[in-house]
Amino acid sequence: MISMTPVLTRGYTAWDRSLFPVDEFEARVRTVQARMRDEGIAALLIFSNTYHTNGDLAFLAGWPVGGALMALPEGQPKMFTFGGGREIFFQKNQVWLDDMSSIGPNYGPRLKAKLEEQGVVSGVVGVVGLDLLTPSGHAALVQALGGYELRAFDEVFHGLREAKRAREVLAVREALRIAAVASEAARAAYESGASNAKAVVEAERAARHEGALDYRGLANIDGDDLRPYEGLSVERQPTLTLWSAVNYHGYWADMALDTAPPGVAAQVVEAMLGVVRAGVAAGEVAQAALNAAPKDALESALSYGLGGGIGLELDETPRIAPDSQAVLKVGSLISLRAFIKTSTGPSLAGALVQMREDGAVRLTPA
Amino acid sequence: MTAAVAMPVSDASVRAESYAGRHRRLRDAMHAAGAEVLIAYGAGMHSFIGSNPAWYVSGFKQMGSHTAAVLPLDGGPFLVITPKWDLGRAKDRSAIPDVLACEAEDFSATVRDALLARGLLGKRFAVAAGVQQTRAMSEAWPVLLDQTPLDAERLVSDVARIRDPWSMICTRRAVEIAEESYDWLLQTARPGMWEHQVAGDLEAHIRDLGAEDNFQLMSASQHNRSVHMPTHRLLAEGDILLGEITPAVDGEFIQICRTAVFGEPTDELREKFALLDEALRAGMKAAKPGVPAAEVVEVINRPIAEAGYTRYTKPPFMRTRGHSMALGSMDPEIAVDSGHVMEKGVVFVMHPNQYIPETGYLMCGEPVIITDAGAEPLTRKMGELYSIT
Repeated sequence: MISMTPVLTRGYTAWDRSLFPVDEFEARVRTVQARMRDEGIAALLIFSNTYHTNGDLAFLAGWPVGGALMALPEGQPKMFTFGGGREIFFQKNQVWLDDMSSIGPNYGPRLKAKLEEQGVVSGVVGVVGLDLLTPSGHAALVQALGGYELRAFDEVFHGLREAKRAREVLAVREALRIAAVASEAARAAYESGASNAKAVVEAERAARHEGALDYRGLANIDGDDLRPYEGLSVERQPTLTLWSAVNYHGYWADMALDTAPPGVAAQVVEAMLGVVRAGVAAGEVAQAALNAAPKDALESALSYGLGGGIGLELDETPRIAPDSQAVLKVGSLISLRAFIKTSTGPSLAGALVQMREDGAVRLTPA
Repeated sequence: MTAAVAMPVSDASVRAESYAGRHRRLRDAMHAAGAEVLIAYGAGMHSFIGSNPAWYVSGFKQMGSHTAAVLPLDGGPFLVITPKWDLGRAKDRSAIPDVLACEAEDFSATVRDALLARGLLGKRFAVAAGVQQTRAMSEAWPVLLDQTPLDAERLVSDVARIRDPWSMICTRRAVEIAEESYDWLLQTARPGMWEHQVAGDLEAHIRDLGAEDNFQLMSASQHNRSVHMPTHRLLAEGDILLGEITPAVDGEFIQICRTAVFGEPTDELREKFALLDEALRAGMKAAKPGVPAAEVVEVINRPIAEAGYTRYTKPPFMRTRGHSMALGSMDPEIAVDSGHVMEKGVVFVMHPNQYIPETGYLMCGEPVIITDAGAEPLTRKMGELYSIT
């Protein structure tokens, strides 16, 4: 699996109301509330952690903000942040919810009080993202909500948002557009004589200009491996191999750039494109990749990963791996990617596709 | 060592000696605490408001979701990283030569097997994981180690609180980058540019100067409610541009907080900025070894309160009066409820940033080091109210 530079980036931040009008979020909430009623859940608490990428809360709030969202089977959810409140006026501009407030770091007892205010004094409380809480925060929360039956709702919730809505696909395509601009900026820098490291910097600069909330790049800096930018380097490799991931409005897209002629990686991705569609097991897609790769490419192909789900998180389920039995779902977005090292050198390729029953549609930049 | 991180031989030597020194001091502390093996864990997120014990002990910035730097009292240290494909970089960068790599799902088993193979399972363990460890990983340690490990957060923080020579080299370089990049910003930011364009350019420039990371808040308004993430606002004449710039070099973040105005500042703006500057300088003068952080806060707040702004010296009109951002320690916090005491040699940012009703939010903050004479700025030149014309 390809991971990314784990930094806290603060790029372009503004609610795009034409892309995500309020009715989009109301429709999402209605879907979740219907499932809550089916499951007999009196209230749902979704947690996120500022430090860990988490799309669950953003799916309903509209922005990847840290804190907790409380949804009842009817009505508009409420959003609570755990900070001192300095940023709340700005955060209110990013989310569609009318009720957003800071409840401070001691959130366990405060959430209990909020539940009681809404008349939820017992019963089942669904929880999403409990694993992301700090150990002390989790302990205090569980103690405070001791009178309720806490039921993990993660799997159900992830299932509800696995098939991407039309507007989500548009957001990913916008992220893809930014990634394409970033890739071209890197290519131009490299072709004008810049080092591989400098090309990554130029990709980030272009992405941020175009409205990226976050940009993350891995390139063949000072060798054949993919590496993050860690400082100045004047070294130029014979080619530029750059994997860019861009976040727009909480949604990720990724793109591969390889200045060398299409190599083994492109063949591997083509092989996956030949079989990927809704209803197919992720393992079957991976096997197609391995069948297309020469023997000396297998290790790097598996080590770097062959891709997986993408959307509000860079690495959503399912993962394209030989042992995966997960079946690809209609409407889900899958990033297929291959970084291959063979005796003839490294190559990188990728494709972003949406699952249809009759095949996969390759996403194009917005 | 690859060209990407090439450094003068003297610096490489300081780095190696500093990491050896960290391991030595940590072992002394472990011995005193009754711990036989320290596990310094990294959760895969690097933030200027959260320490990273794994990076502090290993010198390696992880890409994956788990890293453990294992330091036994007796025997050599080793490092377990994720994901597997990052092994080459880890071997180049880590101050610990014995590196194992695995996928995230195999992390616990790999750590356990490595401990077993080295005869360490059964020893008395201590774990430091920083504030960013998730509950899931916290609950995994007792199972993985067959015991409830000692909490080593304080142990690592106490060793790391005073930055060692390598840390100070990185810190000073980060300060240079912050100052140089802000000077560049003053030369390049113009009305008509988007807020996020200015922020993005600065971000790229900071990386060009050699920082591997940067936390940045940058926003502008005729009257700022606070500093925030950059938007698509078009900068205009008379806007007050706020910048919190926090570059990192080899994991060591450092921060400057700056205020600039497009055009000539009004007399009122000059007056209010001078008030915060006065508060900052008073705080720096008071921050002598032995002085409680809470007392420094009182000194900072005094002139602001005397000017009639007591209400605005508290959240939500400000966040904190300062804080450390070292790789291995978040001490001290300069806050009313802080129990920290000023200690010679500690480095942190002191920033009386806050909202003032007449002018809006203003920023005024310096990275400082505590000396016998008080807090001295690490910057070449302390910030002022800048005018972009």
